[in-house]
Amino acid sequence: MTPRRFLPLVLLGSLLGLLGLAGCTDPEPLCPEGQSRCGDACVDLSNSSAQCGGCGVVCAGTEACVAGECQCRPGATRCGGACVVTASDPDHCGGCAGEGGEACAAGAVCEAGGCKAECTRPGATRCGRSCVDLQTDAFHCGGCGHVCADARGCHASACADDVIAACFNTGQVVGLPASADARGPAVAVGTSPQALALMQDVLLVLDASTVLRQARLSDYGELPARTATGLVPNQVRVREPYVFILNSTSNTLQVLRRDGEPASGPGPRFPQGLALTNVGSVNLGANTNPYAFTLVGPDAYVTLLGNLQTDASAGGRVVRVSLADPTAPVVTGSFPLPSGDALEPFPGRVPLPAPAGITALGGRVFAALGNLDARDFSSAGPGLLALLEPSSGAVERLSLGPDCLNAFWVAPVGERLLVSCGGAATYDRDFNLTDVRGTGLVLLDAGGRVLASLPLRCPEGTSCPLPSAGRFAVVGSRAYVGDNNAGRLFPIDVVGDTLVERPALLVCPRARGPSLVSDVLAVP
Amino acid sequence: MGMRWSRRAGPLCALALGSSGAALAQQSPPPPEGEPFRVPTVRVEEAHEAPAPADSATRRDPTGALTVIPVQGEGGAARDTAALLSTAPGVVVQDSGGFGQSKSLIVRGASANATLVLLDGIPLNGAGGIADVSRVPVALAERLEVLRGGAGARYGAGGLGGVVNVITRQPSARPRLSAELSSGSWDTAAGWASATGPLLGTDALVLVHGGTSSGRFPYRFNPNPTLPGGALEERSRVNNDAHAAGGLVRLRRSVGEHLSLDVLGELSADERGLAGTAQNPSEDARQAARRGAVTLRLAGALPGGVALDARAYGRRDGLALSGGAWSTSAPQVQWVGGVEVEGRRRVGAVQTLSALVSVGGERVTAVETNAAGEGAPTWLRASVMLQDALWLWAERLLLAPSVRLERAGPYTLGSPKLGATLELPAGLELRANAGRAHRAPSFLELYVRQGTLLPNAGLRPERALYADAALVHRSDVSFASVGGYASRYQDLISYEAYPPGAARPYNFADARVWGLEAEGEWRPHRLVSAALSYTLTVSADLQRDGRFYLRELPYRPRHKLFARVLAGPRWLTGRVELAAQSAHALTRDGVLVLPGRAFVHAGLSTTWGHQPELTVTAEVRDLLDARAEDFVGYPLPGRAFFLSVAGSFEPGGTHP
Repeated sequence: MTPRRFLPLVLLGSLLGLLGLAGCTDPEPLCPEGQSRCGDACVDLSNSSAQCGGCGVVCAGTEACVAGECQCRPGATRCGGACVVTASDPDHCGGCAGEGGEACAAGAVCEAGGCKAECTRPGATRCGRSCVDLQTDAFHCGGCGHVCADARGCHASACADDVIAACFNTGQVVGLPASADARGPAVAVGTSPQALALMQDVLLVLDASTVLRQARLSDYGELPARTATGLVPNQVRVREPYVFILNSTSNTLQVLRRDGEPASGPGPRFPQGLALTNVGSVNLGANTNPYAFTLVGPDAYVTLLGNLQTDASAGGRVVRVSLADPTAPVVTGSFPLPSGDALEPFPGRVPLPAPAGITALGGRVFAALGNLDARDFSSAGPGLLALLEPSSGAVERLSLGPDCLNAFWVAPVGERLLVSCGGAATYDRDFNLTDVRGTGLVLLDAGGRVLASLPLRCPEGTSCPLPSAGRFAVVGSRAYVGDNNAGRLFPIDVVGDTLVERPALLVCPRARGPSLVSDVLAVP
Repeated sequence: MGMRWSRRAGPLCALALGSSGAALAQQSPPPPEGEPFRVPTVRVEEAHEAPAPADSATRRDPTGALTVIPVQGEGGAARDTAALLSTAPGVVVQDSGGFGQSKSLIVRGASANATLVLLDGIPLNGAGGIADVSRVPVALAERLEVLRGGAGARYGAGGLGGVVNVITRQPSARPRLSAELSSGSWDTAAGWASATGPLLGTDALVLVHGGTSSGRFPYRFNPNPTLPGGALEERSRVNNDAHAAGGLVRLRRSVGEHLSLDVLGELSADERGLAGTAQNPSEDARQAARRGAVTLRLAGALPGGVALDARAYGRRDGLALSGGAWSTSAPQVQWVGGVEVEGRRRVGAVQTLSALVSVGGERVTAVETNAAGEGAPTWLRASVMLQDALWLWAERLLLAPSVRLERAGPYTLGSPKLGATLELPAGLELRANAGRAHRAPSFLELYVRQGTLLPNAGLRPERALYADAALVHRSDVSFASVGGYASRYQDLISYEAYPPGAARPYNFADARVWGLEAEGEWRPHRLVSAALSYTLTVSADLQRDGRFYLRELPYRPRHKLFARVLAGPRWLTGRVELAAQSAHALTRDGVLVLPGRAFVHAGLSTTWGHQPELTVTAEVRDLLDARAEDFVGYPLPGRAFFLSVAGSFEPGGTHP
């Protein structure tokens, strides 16, 4: 080949190389974790009753999609080939007709599983020949025949899940019924949802990428309203009309105020989202690394974990922030937490209190102490809880027993306290995780006495991804505990003075890598 | 071929911008006698006495996108190595803020740990793969070579985005004494002194340098950044001081008629505060480092027309952290060494073959490692490289295919490259390159636990496919180059949460970067010159996750501009510079954005005498006091004043 012929090839090759690397066409993005493409949309085919197991496969209103198959949803029973609501179905009232139930006579209604001449229960509304409570009936929510989609329940005449989980690694939120035997479809909201809260009919999703996002409570469709947060926002709480955000790296408690009023009439109260305005902020100090807070009367109690990378001494405290004037929050008190030998250090360990979750019960404040070694964030001592008496400023140390390491989150269950323990990682020589010791739940009475412990581990004789207990929410006497490691939700029932574990539900599946359930929200 | 070089180089060498005005340039050394080895680039700065070392970028990669930055007359306390490198197209500096504070390089959108930094060929990248150029004093350097684009074929694993080679000062047979002292804002002072000349049958150079700064520059801080109208507080950086000292010794002597032996030894010690972010500063975290490096090089011509370049090198780098969370961490020591032999021989009338064999090793000690690291991770590195330089079409077209096969620790890597240059009429030239490069995972990523950051011995090497093309124009008074590039980076390594409470690196990212690079110099009058470089960087995250897909990569500003105008006679030269970059994302989802920034620098210098020669320079950095930060929460210094005095004396030297 002569040089004159070679030259165009060189030029053409360079051009093609540039164009090829620059990418003339790009494939579409993959759907979020656990979702499949149906036309232009990404759908969770495993749990979407509108597209169950395949694009366009629709479950009946009395069915929910479980693992890609339509099944009778909670409250419905299969009679013949159909799922019916035996509590209110006049053809299968109280059960399948002829199988313990009956078909009500013409003109009779079915109420609470019994045939009656007319609806008699307080709050009952007649929908055809069914007597229902429009406030709570998922098959007649807010109006006759208005069926809540998927497995959502009816909360004050509005469809909503009973529990909502945030999937940090996959950028999704997932709803599920209180029974926790099914879950709704996972919906993408933001990048890394870190914390959840509810305001009116809007789900507030605190995204670690420094933005507070909003989603419709009915289907988690993201709303246009957004608010910038500080760095590493970690927790959000609502006290109408205010929203409080704790920014861990900015060291601030940020205060937003809802300015708009709900729309009147049926439909969403805030179709475009809440109008939130920044009205206040307080800086809690460099390296304080505020982690969590609880609202008690006019105050917020904030745990300061301390910056373990630079100056841990700025943390190890709980501060009281007066929110009497939310536009001018101010620190009014500081409660040093147990440190040094008071943390009962393991041999060779240098412990820091590293407080995380915090709650109030009976006028007292309880903070979970991580009891960590700053060198590698591993457990430096046993799981502990700090009890603060706001009136006297006294701080008492409560032991959580031998089954708890790295106490993490705490919340009341009735008159008791429930604490989750994140545990301590054990690695093999290649730093593969081989065990998480001391993870689980601890139940205490109001005086701080341990009533029961429940270690989280794989069922006997089975193998599973190692669990690590994280944040949790409580509905009635059941706690829904998020998994730090493998995207599960652990329902834990408080039965008397005991803790009973129910089957875990995979709410944040991920094909590869860990999956953190970063927050769990109970919908009232 | 030699005639061709002379014909081209003669008038161009006359384009001397002066020692204080020389800036960006594409530069070529004279070819070895009798070789058909032509470097189709051009020298536009003042001619250097010594030829380029055999391992200089111009020799190693004759078609590469290369910018040479002369250092003579630069530096002092006002302008460090990072500031000089940032004037090159394709280079973005990540700056922790302040004299002696950490500064790393992003070249062509590749990560900071994917740019090789060499000191006369000695790799300076640390155990984490990143080279902190703040630890390379300007005083050591005669010039800086920035080779953009994948460099796997000629430099081996590590240079996904490019290579920076710091060419140290050369010893001379003529005695010469030089020194510079400078001082400025925030208690900053720097100085160096060198002596060169004949010593015990060698040409010798001895250089010592030192610098110090309190780093207590003011910055504005908003304690409540989300609150509209939140008051800004004026604060000063604390624990941001830096102190460094070191020296360089070079000896060169002839061995026989055609060979020369060159010995280089370098020692440095530095210590600095690790100030942390503005939000969460650290008052006691410190870093202390000690470096020793030595090179022994034998170069010249062997019988049979073979050009030889053989060298052995070694480096020891000790790094100790103290204070803060690091109070109990053990020092980390990195050892790097190797032997490299390259031969080059003309074959026929239009071809030159080069072959290189290298064997070396790397070791990191006193660290907590995984089983694969066995307490002190150690790698053997070995590679062979072949390059052909083929002249075609009456020597207007150069084709330079090359390939390197390499064993780096547990990884076997192949890095091919094809480069070409084509001489066009009217002073134009076309240059193009394409190839593949790799970055082996760093020791820290593979073996070493750093607090909550765990290693992963199962990592794969990062890979790059790259291509570029540029059109170059030269005249007696100007130089201009405009080109495009594209790189595809695959299997990129990034840390991800590894619950509970840790993070671990994985190969999961994939990216594409393309853009334009333009640079030029113009000297319309003997007292006026101007230089400009511009970079367009268009990056795209190719991980097919809708949250990140096709978003621009964080820390890659789309636009970067540097411009300089220099005017005046030797006795009063003025200089104005503009260094600007556009806003860019700080997070993969693009929510957090670092605003764009523009710094204006200005200076005046006056030079008197010849033997001795004395230069006094006054400089204002960031003249408009533009306040900016880098990363998230690392303030950059505002307006600063510096004064420097430099002198040289050459006993028996003649006036120019």
